[in-house]
Parts: sequence; C-alpha cells; structure tokens
Amino acid sequence: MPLSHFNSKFPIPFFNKLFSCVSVQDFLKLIYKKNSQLCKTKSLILLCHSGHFGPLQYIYNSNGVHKKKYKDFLPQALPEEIRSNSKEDRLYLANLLGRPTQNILSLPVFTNQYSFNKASVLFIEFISKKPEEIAKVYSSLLSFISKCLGQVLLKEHLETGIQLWTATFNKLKEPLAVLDEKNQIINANNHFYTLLKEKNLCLDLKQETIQLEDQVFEKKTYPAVIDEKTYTICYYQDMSESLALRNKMIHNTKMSALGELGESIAHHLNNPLTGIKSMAELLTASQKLDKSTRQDIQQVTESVAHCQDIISNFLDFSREKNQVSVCDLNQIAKRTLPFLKSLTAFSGFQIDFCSEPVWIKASPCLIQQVIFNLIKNACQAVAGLDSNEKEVKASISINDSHAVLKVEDSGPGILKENHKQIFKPFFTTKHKTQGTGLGLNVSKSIVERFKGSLLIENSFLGGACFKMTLPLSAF
Amino acid sequence: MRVLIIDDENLIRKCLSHIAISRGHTTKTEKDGVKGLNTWLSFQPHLVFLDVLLPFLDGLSLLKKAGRQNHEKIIMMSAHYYFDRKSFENVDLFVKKPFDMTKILQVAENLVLNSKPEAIP
Repeated sequence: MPLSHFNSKFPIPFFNKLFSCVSVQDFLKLIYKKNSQLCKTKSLILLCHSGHFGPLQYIYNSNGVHKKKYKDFLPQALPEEIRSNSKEDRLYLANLLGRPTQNILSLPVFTNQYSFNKASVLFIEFISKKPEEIAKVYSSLLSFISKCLGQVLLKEHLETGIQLWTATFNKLKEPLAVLDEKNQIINANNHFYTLLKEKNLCLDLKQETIQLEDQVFEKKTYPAVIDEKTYTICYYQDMSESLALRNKMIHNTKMSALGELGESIAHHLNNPLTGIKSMAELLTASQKLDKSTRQDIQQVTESVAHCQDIISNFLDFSREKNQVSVCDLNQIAKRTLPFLKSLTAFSGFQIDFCSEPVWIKASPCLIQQVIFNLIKNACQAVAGLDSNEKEVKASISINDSHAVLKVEDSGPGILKENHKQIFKPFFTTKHKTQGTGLGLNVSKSIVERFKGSLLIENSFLGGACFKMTLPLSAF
Repeated sequence: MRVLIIDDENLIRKCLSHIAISRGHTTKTEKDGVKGLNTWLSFQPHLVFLDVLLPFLDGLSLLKKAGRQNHEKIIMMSAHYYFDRKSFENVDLFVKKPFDMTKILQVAENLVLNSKPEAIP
C-alpha cells in the first residue's frame, strides 16, 4: 500500500491498532471513533460471516454494540464497490433497523480468504458531510480495512475454537491427560488435576488402577499421532459403580449357592428326622415303658418337631418366595428370631412386640432378611463389651399410619460422618470374616421397595439405632 | 397283605415295618434300589413304599424296571420339595416326609382293598 494513502486523518498508529484488534467489537469501535472525526457518525452496520456461528450482524452506535445471528445476506444488499446512498442499501437497512436511515456509505470488505469465502459488507451511517467526500477517504484504504477485518475474524474464530475445545476437554467427566513420547504430561483436564493431583497422589502413569477413598479409576490409553509425533491419550475411567455391581453379583451368586446347599442339607435332615419322630411315637405307644422313660421319649418327639420347625422356617427363608402379601410384622420377627439364637443369647437381647397385629404389605421373606440383618448387626456391635454392658433392644410399634421396627444397641455406635456411607455397598467397619458390607445396603433397598425407609439414629443405649418404617396396610 | 418298604433311612424302614406288622401285614424292607427291585420281583407285594432318592438305583428308575407286576399299589415318599405329585405319573400316592405313618398306612390299605379285595389274604 503506497505510503501516500496514510493521511493525517488515518495515521499509521491507527492502522497498527486496527490490525491488532482481537474482536470485531474493538474493530468497529476504532472505525466508529475515527469516522466520528470525519463526520457525525450515527451507526456502523457490519454483515460478516463467522466460522463457528455462521452469518452475523453487528450494529454499532453510541449505545455500544449489538450482535445477532441472521439468516443470510440479501443479494441486492451486496455492493461490488464503494457506493453511497444506494437505494437498495437504504431500503435494506431501513428494514433491518426499523427506521429510515441517514446518508449511507457501503463498503464491500472482501475478507474472503479469512472468512470462509463469504463476502462482508460495512455500512456507515452518518450526517453532516457529503457522502462522496467520505467515500473518497475510504476508497484508498478499503483493501487495508478488509485485511484487518479478515484478521480479526480469524482471531475470533481461533479464540472461539480454543474456548470450545478447552471447555469440552475440561467438561469430560473422566480425568484425562495427553502425554508425549517421554510420558510427560503436556496437557490434562481439570478433573485430572483435581481428582488425582490434589489428593496428594503421587501419580504413577504406569499404574493401571487408582484407588481413592470411595472411587476406583482404571487407566485406559490409546495413541494419537499428531504432526508425525506419537502422543498417548490417557484417561481414567471411574469403575466404582461397575466394580460394586460386579462384587454384588459375585456375592449374590455365592449366597444363592449357599442357599441351595442349605436347602439340600435341610431336606436331607428331614429324612432321618421323619424316622426318629415315627420311632419315638411308636415307642411312646408301647405298653412296656415306665413313666419316666416315656416322658424322655416324649421329649425326643418334641425336639424333633422343633428341628422340623427350624428346617421349614429355613426353607421359607431361603426359597425365593418373594410374593407380596399382607402380613403381621410381629409374626415375621418371631419367625426370624430362632435363626439368631446363637447371637442373641449372649447379647442382652430383648424384644418388645406390638400388642396388636402390625399389618404391612410386603414380602415376609425379604422383611425377615432385613430384621435378621439389623439384629445381627446390633449383636455384633456389642460383642466386644462386658456381659453386663451388653444390651440389644428391638421393638415393634405403630406410629400414626406406619409400622416401626427399632433395633438399638449399647455398642460403640456409628460415627456421624459414616451415617451416609453405611448404606453404601461394601462399606463395612467389621472384620472381613464378619461382614461383606452388603447387609445394610440390601436391607435399605428391600425396605424402600415396599415404600418404607431405613434410617440411622443415635440410641439412648449409647450405640446405634436403626429404624425401619413401613406403611401400615389394611388387613 | 404283603408290604415292601424301600428306603435308605434305617428308622423309616423300621417304623413303617413295625406299624405294618402290628396291623397284621407281612413286610420286607430293602435299603437300596437294586436289592429293592429283586425283592419286588420275588416277594410280589400288594403295597410298596418307595423312596425317591436311593443308592444304586433311584426310585423312579426302579419303578420303570419293576413295572406293575400284580396290580400292587405304589406309594412314593420324598423329603425333597422339588418333587410333588406331578413328578410321578405311575404312582398311586405321593407323600412328603415327614408324614404320619399310621394314617398313611390306613389310606394305603384302603387303596389296595378297594381295587382288588378278593386277592388279599
């Protein structure tokens, strides 16, 4: 561009500024300011094309800038060279602005190479000077202004692109890092830093899994070739849920196998018991026996009946009889207690049944499982205490329209911070041989299945109090 | 009436046999399927108490091999819940252990008597 084109109205520093603009707003602001020195400028209207957002329309006036998307250029609004007060342009702008316009100078700014082969046009609306005079000033500068605008649009395009990618990268839920050939981190997302670095983990990139307090991450990698260099994209997948699910499944399979085994044992026991019972009955009927022997044999019969009760109870418990029925919570609890005898006998156990039937609508077998879990937990909680300090209290009551089962103990209790955790799968404070960490999780889901709740409170006995609430049902 | 009892549980064999004898029947007992089949064929019982799970030859296979020799009545017994009446087609009665032996014997006697009263000594 010949130096003579830079006149006192448009000095070189102005063009330097214009060239280094990073946004269309700044660009328009500069032009507006400069133009105001030439004549009274009312507004600038720029129609251009952005790579990310498509056609854009900027209106710049003394109130600032107004930017919006619009459908496309009107064909007749595109000037091929600088023109002033063209009828078409004024009509087009009147439609666009919703008012009649003043003098209009239309500058075709061909930013093709930067703005994706779409032409742009800048309209200058002004008063007080003859349009031809202003047109003359711009005619020699047009190509330079075009270049500047092209540059600005490209910068905006890049900026938006970077923002989009950074946001995407950071919004990814998985911690992700890009490594170079020497396994140095060259880029990583926010999750990577917060989850892995802020937890003071000395991150070994060779490590396949990372164990956090309640999360497990598994490393996955794949190569990416960029500019003939091989990078490794390395991301950590949160496996906590799927691991929990897998463990739950293993546990379930194990339990059902145990259940089957137990059932088979129970059935096999029935066989000899039948014999013992019949034999004892036969003997009692015999005339030859004295009274005390007869009584002894009578006791054998009773014990056999008891054994058979236990077996049939066990079979009901283990079989998948999940049918929902209306049942009395008192009865369910009574049928569960024999299974817990070995624990309750040494735990200072007491149970208060409700004086009237407590009808609930649920699967008795599943509720039995919940009661079993709660009482077992309570008894295990007091196991370490002296026998005179051991206390486990269970009670069944009716509260408004709800059946309530409370199980509380005098054990060490559950720390407040663990109150939420305690219902999570595999959370346990017990020794491995005593618990899987599933009991309470399963219990809670059972209770919630029947529209009830299982809550933990502090007990006046000193330990924990579990409160199961189920809606009462009409018998 | 000849009563054959095939069960691997000693006490059940003893009790059933005892009750049957006390009611005036002749009994034989066997503790496995193979011996049970032989005795069945030679003894020609009027009434058979047959357990399902037996050593060497299970109750059902035994029943198939023996067939009905002499219009004898067959009472199947099992402690296992997965067997029920529907599991056995060719059987006159199915009882789940534990059961009241005296009562079941009475029912069984009636079954035999009602079908062929003249053949019973």
